[in-house]
Amino acid sequence: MPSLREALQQTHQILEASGIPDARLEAEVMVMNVMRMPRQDIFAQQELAVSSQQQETLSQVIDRRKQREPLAYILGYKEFYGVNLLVTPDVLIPRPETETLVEHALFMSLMGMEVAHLVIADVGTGTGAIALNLAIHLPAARIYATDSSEKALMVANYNIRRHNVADRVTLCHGDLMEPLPEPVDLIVANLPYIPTARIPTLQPEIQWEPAAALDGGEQGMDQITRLIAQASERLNPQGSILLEMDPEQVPLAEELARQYFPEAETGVERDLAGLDRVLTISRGVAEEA
Amino acid sequence: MDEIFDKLGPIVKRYEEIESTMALPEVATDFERVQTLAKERAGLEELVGISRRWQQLAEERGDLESMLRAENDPELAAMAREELEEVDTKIEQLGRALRVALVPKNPNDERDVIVEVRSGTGGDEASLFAADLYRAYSRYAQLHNWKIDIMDSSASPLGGFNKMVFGVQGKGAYSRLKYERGVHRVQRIPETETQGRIHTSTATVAVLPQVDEVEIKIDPDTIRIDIFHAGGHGGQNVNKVATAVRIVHEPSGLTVTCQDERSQYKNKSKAMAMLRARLFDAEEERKSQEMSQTRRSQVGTAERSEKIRTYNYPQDRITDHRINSSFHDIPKVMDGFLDDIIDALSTWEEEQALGEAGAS
Repeated sequence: MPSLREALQQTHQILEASGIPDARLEAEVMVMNVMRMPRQDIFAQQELAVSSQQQETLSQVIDRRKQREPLAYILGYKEFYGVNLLVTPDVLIPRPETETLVEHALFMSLMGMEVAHLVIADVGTGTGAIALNLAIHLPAARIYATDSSEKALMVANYNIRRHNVADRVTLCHGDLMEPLPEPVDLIVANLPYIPTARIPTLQPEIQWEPAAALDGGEQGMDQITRLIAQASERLNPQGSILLEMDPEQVPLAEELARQYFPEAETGVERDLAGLDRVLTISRGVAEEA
Repeated sequence: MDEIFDKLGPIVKRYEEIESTMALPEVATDFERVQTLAKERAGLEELVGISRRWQQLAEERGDLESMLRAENDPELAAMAREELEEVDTKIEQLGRALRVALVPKNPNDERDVIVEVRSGTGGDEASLFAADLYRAYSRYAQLHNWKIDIMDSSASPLGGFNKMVFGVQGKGAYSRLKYERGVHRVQRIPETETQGRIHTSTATVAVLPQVDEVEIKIDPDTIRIDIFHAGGHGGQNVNKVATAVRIVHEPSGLTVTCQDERSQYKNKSKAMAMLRARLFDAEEERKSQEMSQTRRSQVGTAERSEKIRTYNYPQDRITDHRINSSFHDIPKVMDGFLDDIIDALSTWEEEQALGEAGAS
């Protein structure tokens, strides 16, 4: 029977030969999951024997991964902002850049707004990643999470229950902000923003993700444009909007913001790679009495 | 020998002072003041206990001595002499306990740590030895019920590690692992060796006390946070398993990296913890250079590049060069049973400190 060390090395080699980037890291994650052992134990017990059943499971994982199926779909979860989320092929796998969106939403909520009465909308929630994390860190907030995909909402539902925030996160099925029952103080959205033509040129892993969660139309701006257009009547007077997008989309989005929210302040937040990632639109600041 | 007990006089006095102060009505209602005083009192508890015990023993001895002087019966005199010897032995033991209690404690002893094991000279074999050391520390941590968390690692082709950085959380982690700091040297026949020759390789271990955000404040303007990205748009355009965060601290030039499959947010947090630990360590090192040689031995650590231990596998002997002692059963030690070696080092450190503090 092979040892853990051998299993790790072999897995690494196979993945590397298949052109998987970060092959060593992925090999570790696969072995950790199959052996149900944390990394520190895998490294400390490299001589441990891998049973034939475990080998079989590992083989299956490797075979699926060789087809470039995303590892998150194979393992069934992805960690985001410190929280493990269920993911299925019905949802977009959360990206690290969206953690920037969450951080800024939290920062704005805690700094500027009346935290006690905060009502938030996470539009196009997918796994529920954003809504869930806001609920965890803003215990007094009420959050609506919308999505046009019922299947995605089932995943979101699992996640919010799993993390005990179902009492403060309401899931709404429908198009963008249409299903919202009331106006909100904060809109956060990671809507599909990839230009249609670009999608097939992206990584093989991305071809496994739902096109509806990525496709933003010709310039990737369709969903964002529609949201900005709808947001005006659904956002409270002192409210704010945070939208994730690609750097080259920012000028266009800012222009739209100025059009629909002439009195609002706009800003851009960068992600950790230093790229413009989040557009902020802040409606009138409260007048001091 | 009784002079050592004279050191207790002022300590007992202070203890009694604290007690009477705490009894005053205006102090008893001042919660914060009571807390501070109670803490100080707790710190003196052990020494006061020793002092009281000594008073008891000194009285006993006095009584036995006068009895001996007055005693005519040779049998009873012999008994009294025996008892007197016993009391003297107890006083001697108490004196030793007092000396240990008087040695100033390293303020970092209670901290959690970050351990960095890096392969040194010897290529693949050095990386395998680094992996062996990690294994030993990991099992040692388990024996002590400490938690381990991998922060960064870099594997070598044969299953060893060029680098392994991990946090150890647990009571007294620093107080034990601090003795591991330095260069470890191994002499054995490598797995890859076809002709049975013994090779010498090294691995370096660094042990950094963990420091929280309150103790080392890092000005966000002085750091640059990078993530590794291949250029291009990022965000929805990319789907990768690895998140890697690199933080560069501009004033010191220190760089830390953290890479794994977990959230970027967590990696950033780990990288900051590593940076704080390194900055704190650099500061301690700077202070240590300024200290006299005597105080340095109390800190209990060698120069970072000093060869502290040699593991000779064919002879089944581990030699710690600081205390010039040998230990056997390498497999057992490398299975995590490090306490014998660490106990010996701990005792050595105490003796050093006492010797230089002038207590004789």
